[in-house]
Amino acid sequence: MKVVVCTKQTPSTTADLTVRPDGSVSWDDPGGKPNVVNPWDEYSIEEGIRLKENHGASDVIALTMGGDESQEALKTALAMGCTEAILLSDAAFAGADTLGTAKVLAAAINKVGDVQIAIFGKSAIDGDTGQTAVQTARKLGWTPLTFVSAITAVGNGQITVERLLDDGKETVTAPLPVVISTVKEINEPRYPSFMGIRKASRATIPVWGAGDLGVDGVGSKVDWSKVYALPAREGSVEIIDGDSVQQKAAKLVAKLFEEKVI
Amino acid sequence: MSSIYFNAEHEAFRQMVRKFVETEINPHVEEWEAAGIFPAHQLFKKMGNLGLLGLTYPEEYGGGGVDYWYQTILMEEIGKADAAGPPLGIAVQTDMATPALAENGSDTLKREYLAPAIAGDLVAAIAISEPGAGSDVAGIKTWARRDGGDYLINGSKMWITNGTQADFLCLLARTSDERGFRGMSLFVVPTQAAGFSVSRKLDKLGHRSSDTAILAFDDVRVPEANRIGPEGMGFILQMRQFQRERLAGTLMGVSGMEKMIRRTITYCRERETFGQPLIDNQYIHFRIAELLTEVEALRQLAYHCVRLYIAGEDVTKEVSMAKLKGGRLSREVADTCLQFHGGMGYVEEYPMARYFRDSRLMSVGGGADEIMLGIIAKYEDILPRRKKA
Ligand SMILES: Cc1cc2nc3c(=O)[nH]c(=O)nc-3n(C[C@H](O)[C@H](O)[C@@H](O)COP(=O)(O)OP(=O)(O)OC[C@H]3O[C@@H](n4cnc5c(N)ncnc54)[C@H](O)[C@@H]3O)c2cc1C
Ligand SMILES: Cc1cc2nc3c(=O)[nH]c(=O)nc-3n(C[C@H](O)[C@H](O)[C@H](O)COP(=O)(O)OP(=O)(O)OC[C@H]3O[C@@H](n4cnc5c(N)ncnc54)[C@H](O)[C@@H]3O)c2cc1C
Repeated sequence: MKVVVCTKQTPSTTADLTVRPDGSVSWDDPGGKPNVVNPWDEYSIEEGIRLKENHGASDVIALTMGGDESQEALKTALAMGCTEAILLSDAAFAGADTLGTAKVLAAAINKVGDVQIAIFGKSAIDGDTGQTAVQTARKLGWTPLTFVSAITAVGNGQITVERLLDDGKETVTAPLPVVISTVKEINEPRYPSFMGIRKASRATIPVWGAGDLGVDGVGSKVDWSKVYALPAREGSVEIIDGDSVQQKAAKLVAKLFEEKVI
Repeated sequence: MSSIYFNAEHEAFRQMVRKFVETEINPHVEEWEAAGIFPAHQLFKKMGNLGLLGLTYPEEYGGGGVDYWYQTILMEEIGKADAAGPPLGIAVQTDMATPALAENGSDTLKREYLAPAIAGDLVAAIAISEPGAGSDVAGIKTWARRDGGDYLINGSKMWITNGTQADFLCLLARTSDERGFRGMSLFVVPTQAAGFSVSRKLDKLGHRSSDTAILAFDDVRVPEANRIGPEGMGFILQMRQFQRERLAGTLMGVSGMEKMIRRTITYCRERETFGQPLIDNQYIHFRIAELLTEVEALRQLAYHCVRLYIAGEDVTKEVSMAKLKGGRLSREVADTCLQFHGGMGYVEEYPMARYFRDSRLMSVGGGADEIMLGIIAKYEDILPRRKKA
């Protein structure tokens, strides 16, 4: 049984987003932290590795669609314990929306072959649509299991998982193959180990392009016609004075009622 | 930060250690400082699992088998932790209590103690200083007397970091009446041995989350096989071991200083007096520029030591210079940064006060500034000639 983990490289959680007047966006980390594995994907990578450790998966293959620099995210996945990593990169993939991304990921999963479980994060911290997992499931024709907080059993051609929903938990069983998206309650991701980092840095990561995957015209159905920053919130300060603390407190309470704060 | 010293693999390693410090150390610092101890077994096991405790040691004992640049990164990153106690305990494990064992211990001794120390299963401590002898290492009074095939150890050790939690000590003791340094040997002493006891934990100015203890030895029996290297070589081996201790200490010190200066810059940008940010005062930004220059110069001296060490050269003089400068500079940095924080530098709810306390150790621990000056003077052959009696 092969497991695929789809991971995106994103800015670090401490990076600041700047939206320029022309609608272009950039992320800059004030501490100079490099881009990272999408933090939500650390849970999926961990779960993929655990499927190998606990449920007999033979391979755990990390896939990323992105530019050359996304190799670093794949190296992190390898350092944590994925057995293989493949970069999906081609000029034709640039500017893809989630549907385009799903098309590429689905083609790659099919090309890997014999995959029973494809694991995704809840969402990417930059794009943050949370659509890629289900759209990939649709492209593959597999069952999507979203918000998974535990994989309780895998075997006999099926999988049982726990889904964490707003109002409670749900246990569901579905026939393999499936697409899973994970939530952070599912596990505690491990750190890449020192030995893992050494091994990963020596690994050569294969790159699959549009030709290898037999996809063309990825593009984008979504048009981002206007991207703008929210206007800065305006505030003003008013100092409440009075002769005594009691008087000041009374004035403050009256004011809070007046402004309908309480 | 890319540099000519570090490649992409180093950088990935640095990010991993940084994250480890931010998630496994920093969130617990307040609790550990208040408790006067950090849980070494728990923390070291996590580090051992990641391969962090034996980076430069041979792979056959579970080490990483890599050069000291990796250890440099480890020391730099842990040196930025929110308190200096846990980093000191870690450095004792990796750079102060185990180098002599790794270099000169027998295979059996290494399998029994070094391998589990690298795995994080055993906590190590270095036991050199005594109530009556700190700077004057040759003046120690703890004895290891031969008794059959064993040694019986009697005496007391003071200021021992990790002292209340250690599973074994790398201990220096006298083994003969020969005066001075020739009569000493280095031993691995398991702390569960009968006759060993922790006299008490010391209440200190800084490094409060690190347990520092006085240890007592009353006929503690250790087999001859626990001796590191030949009998009578202990002082020499320890002098060599000190070089790594001092190098590691300097590297931690440099990154700690830089972190504090950068914190001060942020503070001085935000804090306004007389209608302008503090940083706009020429006195302040010039002072900060000056300190950053000194820190950078020290870092380069430390990196020079790393290169010499990796090349197998004698680093004693250069490391002593780096340790001396590190001790002096960290006092200056702590004092200046505290000053620019005003009252905020003086309260415990802000990290400055702790840094001020913690930074003071570097001029005392691991050989005081004056001892470093003595070593440098000796290497330069400018010590006064011994007078004839
Ligand atoms: C400002 C802005 C707004 C955007 N808005 C939209 C929009 O409204 N609709 C739209 O379709 N696209 C949008 N996009 C594009 C979209 O972000 C990316 O095209 C798409 O690659 C990933 O979508 P996401 O980041 O939302 O991922 P999500 O769907 O939130 O990611 C979920 C999971 O999918 C997997 N995954 C996502 N991307 C990759 C990848 N490249 N390689 C491997 N695995 C991956 C990961 O497991 C991830 O955890 C926008 C982009 C920008 C810059
Ligand atoms: C927090 C902490 C942790 C420590 N951890 C360990 C540990 O794990 N293992 C261990 O073995 N030791 C440890 N030490 C001990 C440390 O190495 C000694 O404190 C140090 O070597 C100084 O020795 P001393 O305290 O006996 O001072 P003394 O030797 O009494 O010296 C006092 C002062 O006199 C001055 N001085 C000394 N000799 C000379 C001279 N020849 N010329 C001019 N001035 C001189 C110096 O300024 C020195 O600071 C630790 C100490 C502290 C405070």
